[in-house]
Amino acid sequence: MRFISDDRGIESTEVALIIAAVVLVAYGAYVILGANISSTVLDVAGKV
Amino acid sequence: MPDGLALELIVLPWLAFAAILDQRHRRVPNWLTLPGLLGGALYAAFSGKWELALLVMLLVVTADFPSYISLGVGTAFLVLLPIITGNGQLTFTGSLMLAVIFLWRLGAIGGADAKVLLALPLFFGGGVLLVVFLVGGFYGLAALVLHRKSIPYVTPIFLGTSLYFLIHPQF
Repeated sequence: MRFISDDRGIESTEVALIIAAVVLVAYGAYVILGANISSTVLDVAGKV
Repeated sequence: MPDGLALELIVLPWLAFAAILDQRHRRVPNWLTLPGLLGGALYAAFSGKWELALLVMLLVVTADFPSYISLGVGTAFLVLLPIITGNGQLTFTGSLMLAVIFLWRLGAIGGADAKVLLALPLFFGGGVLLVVFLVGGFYGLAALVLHRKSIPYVTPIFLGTSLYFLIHPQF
């Protein structure tokens, strides 16, 4: 199996930066919008 | 079953050793990473997070299949999990684990990185991956300044996990 046998431990610097940026943006969005998303979902669920 | 400080004292030396090998050879042998992944799956299974153990098994078994199968199976599992168990708390951690496999499939990270990254949330939950990814970003930034095209990623994984233990002591 390719995944099991792959023992490379390397990553491009750009990928590391992109992953960190995505995590930051996603976490920021969750902090800012999390409560609103939750209340909207509960509201929709209540109407259904 | 070890937990808290005992678990930290097992995982940190394991990561440190893997990071040293990664720095020297840009490879981490499977005899080091696979037991960690298997140990993580067993730990999750016996500590009430059997869903994560099942997910990691599914991800590993289907990793070599076409993308639509491996990512589709993982996504379907994550969507159905809260419906079947009535517990959506593990969806966050599971989503991050699915993202790790996605990154490996893209060739963005190596197999050793992926195995270590999959093992950590089985022990400590998804939060550790967030810290690891952020530390990886700083590490990548430093490497970019030094004009390096690639980095041995197990080192930021070790540093990020250590930082996570400082922020969230396990004991």
